[in-house]
Amino acid sequence: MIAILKVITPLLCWGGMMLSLARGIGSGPTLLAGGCGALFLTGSLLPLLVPSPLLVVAFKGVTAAAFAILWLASIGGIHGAGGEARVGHAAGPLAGRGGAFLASLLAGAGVGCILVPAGGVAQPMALMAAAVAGVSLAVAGAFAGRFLPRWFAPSGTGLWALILALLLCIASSSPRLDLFSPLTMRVMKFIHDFVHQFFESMLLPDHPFIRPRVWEYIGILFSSGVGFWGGVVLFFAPVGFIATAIRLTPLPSVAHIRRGAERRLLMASYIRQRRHQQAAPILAAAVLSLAIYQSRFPSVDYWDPAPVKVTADAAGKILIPEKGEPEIGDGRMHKFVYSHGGTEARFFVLAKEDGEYAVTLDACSICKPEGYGQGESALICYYCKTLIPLDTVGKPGGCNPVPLPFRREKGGVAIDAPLLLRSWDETVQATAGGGGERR
Amino acid sequence: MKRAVSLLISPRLPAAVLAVFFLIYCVAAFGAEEPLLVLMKLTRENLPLLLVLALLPLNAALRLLSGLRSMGSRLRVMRGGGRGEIPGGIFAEEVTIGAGADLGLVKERLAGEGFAVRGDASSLAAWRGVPFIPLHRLGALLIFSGILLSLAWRQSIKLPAIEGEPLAWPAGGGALVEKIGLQESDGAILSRTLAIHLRDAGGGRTVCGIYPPARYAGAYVYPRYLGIAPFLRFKAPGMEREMESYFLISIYPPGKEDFAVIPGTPYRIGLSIAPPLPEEDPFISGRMELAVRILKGDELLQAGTVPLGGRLAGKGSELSFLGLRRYVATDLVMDHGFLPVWGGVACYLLAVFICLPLRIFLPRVEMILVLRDGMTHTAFRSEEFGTKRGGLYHELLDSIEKGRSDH
Amino acid sequence: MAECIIETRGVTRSYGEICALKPLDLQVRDGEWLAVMGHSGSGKSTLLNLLGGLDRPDGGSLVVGGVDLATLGEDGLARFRRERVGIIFQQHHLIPHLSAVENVMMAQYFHSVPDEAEAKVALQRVGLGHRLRNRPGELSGGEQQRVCIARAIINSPRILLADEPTGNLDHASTVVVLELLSELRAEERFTIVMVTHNQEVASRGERTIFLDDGILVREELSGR
Repeated sequence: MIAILKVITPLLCWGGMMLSLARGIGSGPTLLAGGCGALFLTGSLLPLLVPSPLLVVAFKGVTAAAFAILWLASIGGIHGAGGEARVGHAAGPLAGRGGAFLASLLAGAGVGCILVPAGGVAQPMALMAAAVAGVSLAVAGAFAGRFLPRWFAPSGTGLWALILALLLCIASSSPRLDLFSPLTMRVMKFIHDFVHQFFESMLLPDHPFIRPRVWEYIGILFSSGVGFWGGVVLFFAPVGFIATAIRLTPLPSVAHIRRGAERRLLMASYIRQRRHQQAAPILAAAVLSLAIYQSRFPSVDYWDPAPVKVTADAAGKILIPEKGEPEIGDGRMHKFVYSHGGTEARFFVLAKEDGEYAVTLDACSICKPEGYGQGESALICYYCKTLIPLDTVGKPGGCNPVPLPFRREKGGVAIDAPLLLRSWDETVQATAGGGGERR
Repeated sequence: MKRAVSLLISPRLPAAVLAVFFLIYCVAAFGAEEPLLVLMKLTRENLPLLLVLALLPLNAALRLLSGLRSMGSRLRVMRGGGRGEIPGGIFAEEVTIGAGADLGLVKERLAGEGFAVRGDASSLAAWRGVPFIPLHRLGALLIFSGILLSLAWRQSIKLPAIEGEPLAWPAGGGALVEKIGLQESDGAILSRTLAIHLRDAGGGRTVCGIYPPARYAGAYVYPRYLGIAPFLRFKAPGMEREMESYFLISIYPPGKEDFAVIPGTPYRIGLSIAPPLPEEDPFISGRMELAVRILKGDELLQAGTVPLGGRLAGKGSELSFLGLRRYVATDLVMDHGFLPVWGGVACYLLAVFICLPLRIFLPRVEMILVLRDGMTHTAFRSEEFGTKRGGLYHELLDSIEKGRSDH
Repeated sequence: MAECIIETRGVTRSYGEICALKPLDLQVRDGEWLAVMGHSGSGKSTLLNLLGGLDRPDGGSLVVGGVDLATLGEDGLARFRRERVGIIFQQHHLIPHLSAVENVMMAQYFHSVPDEAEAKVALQRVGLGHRLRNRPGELSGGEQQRVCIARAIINSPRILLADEPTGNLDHASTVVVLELLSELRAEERFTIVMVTHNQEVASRGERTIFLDDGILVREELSGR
């Protein structure tokens, strides 16, 4: 029952998709309800057949590819906007149905994935319940479409922007499916690389020659917000392009009409139709805002204990006993903080399923050191929202927490304090480009 | 052929080309730490990819030409007062009215509306405003050409410019670096001015600054960072003879430590610039003390500070700080894309700050009326934004049809 | 015989206890100029309001320009008013801070989209080409009424409803306005239904009907 609560927003999004498709695709409601309902059903039951990690990767890959295609189509739309005059531009019925069916399959798969606990197995009853709800919504949406205002008839890229926005909203309901957070990481990396490459290519002088104030402005491009805001721009840009392209498309000529009032009426009707075309991109923008909100503030409670202060002995050794408070062998992450010379280094100890300990910084080598929380079978990086499977904690690379060398001795875990401080300093300095800061 | 040209000139082509590179970037992002560098390398080394990239400047050039051609055709038609053949497709609206217009009255009316009018008893051309010049297309052409040229043919060699030394030019005969001057400055962007004085074998002199980059032997001189090479004499037990040399190490700006490694020996000398006086830059003043740590393997033999001309001795080792030379780590870059890219940026700036305001405030409106076989053939084009475009044209057509152009 | 553009059958309208219009049967030919006379409270303006879609009848059928107004919802009625009829009032109802041409463009705006060139021509047609930028306060009563005429015809209505259009004008201005309406009607071929107290004004029409206490009591064909 609680599992079902997790898919309320995704199911509402699915209902929205069906309503939009019902208004935007020329197919009859029976075909639409049948086709889309069947594909949603198939998608939502896929976790029973396909391993969940594979399904998650496939869902994210296809959705991301579709979003990339939308991006390019929207740029093409802007480029072509100065061209021929027209009002509205519908997809061919075949392409329309194809897109609708693919979107239905993805929506079903998305809902199914959300219901499978990370690292766990699918519960057939929950999946069946979601599938039945989805099929009911498909039928209801396909037939209720006719009750929507007549002017709401999304078409062309506007329709697909709305459908994709709803899919992205389904995705962002679960940190595992979310595309926004990984996007922000890629954006940050790209901007960093691009600015560096731009300086190189245009032979621009480096910071020894630049005024500090100017360098501060350039530094904004490397700051922590740039990934988020860059991601926001990337998310909204196609919708903005589509709206702009609609606005810039010249209206058909009315010069052949010789009565002024009649001419103006026709012109007004073209303008009205064009304005109504904007409904889809505007709605898509609203839905994308919700998707971003869900991504930034996931409705999942993470285990995130307050860091316990530790000290080092004269030889610079920090010893964390296995028994005592906290008990580090309980399979949960336990955070510690060591202060020395104005530097506070946070790290955590986690006992994994195989009984081995992982000791790592509470920071990775990419992100601003906002730390990690522990979910069902993964850690989450609070900064980039990347999920780190528990069995990979302790291994270096990517957004994994930076591992620390340690020894098991005297019924505890021993860490070298100078090494910890150096590792923390190096990590935080390296991520200063990504907004890392000394704490 | 026509089909190929229409494909090459299509406004959707750039999106398609960008799609190709975007996809490669995405694939690279999965497997590589530096996807942008991977993409650049891949493009540079693959002729088909370079050809795909070349479609971008080609598309921009074709669209620029086509825009200019139709602008030229329109200007010719306008200047000719609407006489002669009017090429198809250069006007946005074309309407034929089954009645002859009194062009004299039309002319009077349009002149009253601020149009320049030219024509005779059978044809008339009227226009007002400034034609929109597609500078942004020229900008796109230059930027994409620049990227293509840079990506395909850029060559770069690292070449430190050391005071008193000739540039280590690969072909030999590099110019002598006579002097390196650095001064604080309060430019809008740059905080310092740099002057690398070069003198070549023939006595010709070149001064290289920071930006715009100077050219030497056909390459841009790209100063990357500054350095100070201390001239040291070092002797220690086990060394056959004392060592005397400049060390190109990274100790500038003050606060950085680098090691001068004595080759063939276990000795390393950790050097850093001792904190200078406030507001004094040792690169500019040439005054400094070196903080020194002499190590044999990991064993610290000696530590202390040495002023310029001074020495530090102990445990059998002896270090003298005899002098220093300024150097600038430079890249000599041969890149034919550098100027086109900046030219393109300038075009975009001009387009935004000149062409766009002109289009908003003085939009071009053009109209042609030709009397033929008792009918009035008309054509119209407006670069105005918004929906009021064409009102006057429509009204004119109405009045011609009603035979009341005298209103 | 031209087809009917207005056809009412048994149209009634009451305001509380007061029956403003008793069952009324009326046909108006397309292109006809009909004058409606009667003393105050006889139901003239009520009839005009019903014909213009400004009010709804209590009973009967009311077909104007082929549209049965009883079947129209609020949106349909608003559209009917925008596209089918032009109305001229005794009080001009011009917007005081807008110029003459802007007042005309306002009517275009509510109808479809404004078009300044067309609005200027409309004002030139009513002889105000030299007063385009003047505000209503800077125009004489006759000129203001001519702005109203330009405003009423700008959207090419098939029916022009005029409620005492010359009621506030002196004789010379009255003649100018009536001549103008005549000319425009000849050009545009619209139908005029004009309420007036003035016998001379009514005589410009082709037919005059007389209302008394909400009942059509008499009709006369004019010699014109």
